[in-house]
Amino acid sequence: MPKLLLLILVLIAHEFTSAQPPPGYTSVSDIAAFRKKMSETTGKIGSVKADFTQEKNLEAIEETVISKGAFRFQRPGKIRMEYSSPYKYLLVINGEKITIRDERKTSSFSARGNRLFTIINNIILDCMQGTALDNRDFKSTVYRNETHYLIVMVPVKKELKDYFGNIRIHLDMKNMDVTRIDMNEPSGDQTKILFTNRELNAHVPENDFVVK
Amino acid sequence: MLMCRKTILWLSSVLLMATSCSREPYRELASANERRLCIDSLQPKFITIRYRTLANVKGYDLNGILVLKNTTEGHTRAVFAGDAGITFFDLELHPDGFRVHYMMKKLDYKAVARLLASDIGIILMHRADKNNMKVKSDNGTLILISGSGREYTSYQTDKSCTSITRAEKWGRRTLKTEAQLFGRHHTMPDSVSLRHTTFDFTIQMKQMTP
Repeated sequence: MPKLLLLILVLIAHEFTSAQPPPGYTSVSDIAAFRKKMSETTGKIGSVKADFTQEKNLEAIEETVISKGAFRFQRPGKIRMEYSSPYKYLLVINGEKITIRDERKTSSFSARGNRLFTIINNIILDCMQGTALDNRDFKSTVYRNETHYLIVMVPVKKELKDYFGNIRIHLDMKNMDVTRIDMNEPSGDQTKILFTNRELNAHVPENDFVVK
Repeated sequence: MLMCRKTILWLSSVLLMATSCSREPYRELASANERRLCIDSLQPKFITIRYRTLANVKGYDLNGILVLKNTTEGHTRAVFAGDAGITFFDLELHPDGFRVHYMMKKLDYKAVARLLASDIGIILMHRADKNNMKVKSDNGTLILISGSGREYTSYQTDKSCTSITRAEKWGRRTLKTEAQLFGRHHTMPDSVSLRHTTFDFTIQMKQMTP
């Protein structure tokens, strides 16, 4: 009996703590209104030009790996992430086709053939296209502070839980564009992608999504 | 008589097998024990080193950054993060072997962990007992051999014995892994080209500036 009581208390505590907004944020209760706003506002964003900084925190050994580069997005479903430091690396998503260029070679493959890429790409695309709440692979909760919305996405499927503890998407409240994505892993490590110098609906040449 | 001959034949086969299992690489080379002192200078001494790492397993690429960090206990943590940021593994190499702190589910097999620890261990001269290493000479370059019985690791130095240029892992009479090591920064190779000979698995590493 005491064990059962303890279990119930633990479950209640877990439910209580997991529902707690992150520090500095409050819960958004009207999800329908938020969804409508996101859909309407991001619907007006046809392209994005930005710089990005990817910060990989290796928790256990207290090391941070910082990568930087240029980001391009164009509707529908086109992304270019060109890493310029600490090494050159190019990732281009054009619909179902993913192309990667590293120091050795350029390789193209179908997004369907690589589950991890598909997951990450869908998350970035969902963020850019305002469809993050529609992703059924995750259970999402929305919070807000004075300037930003925060969508906390917790994986539902076991396969996704192998890769992510949760994913946090920070949206600028004004334009609903993504300012930061945090991917928290089961290992305790974390990857933050920060988007700066964002230009919405800037001209992005079609050639940016073609790798020769 | 026939029985006796069969027994002798069987015993000879067993003996042959036993000796073949413990066949040591480069045993035909002359010993160069007088140059043993240089082993000390070859052993890596660093706090943290990062390698841009490009691995290819049976045609599949696995690229990212390998971070090697020595702990206060003298162990080495090896953490590999893929280009997209996801951590693939976190291993700790210690004097008695290795420990897995984290391994991505898709890779989470004992054999994979053992292989990764072995490959990283070659570069780190992990478990290369300098006191029990055999030192041989081959036209001025030194060949250092550690291990016994089932597995050997050999290291080939340059003529001045200031860096390792080649490392090999030998199983029973066969070369299992070979690595070419180029340059030397912070007591570690500047770049590494590692290849498994028994299956399609290669690793290219290049030291990154901190």
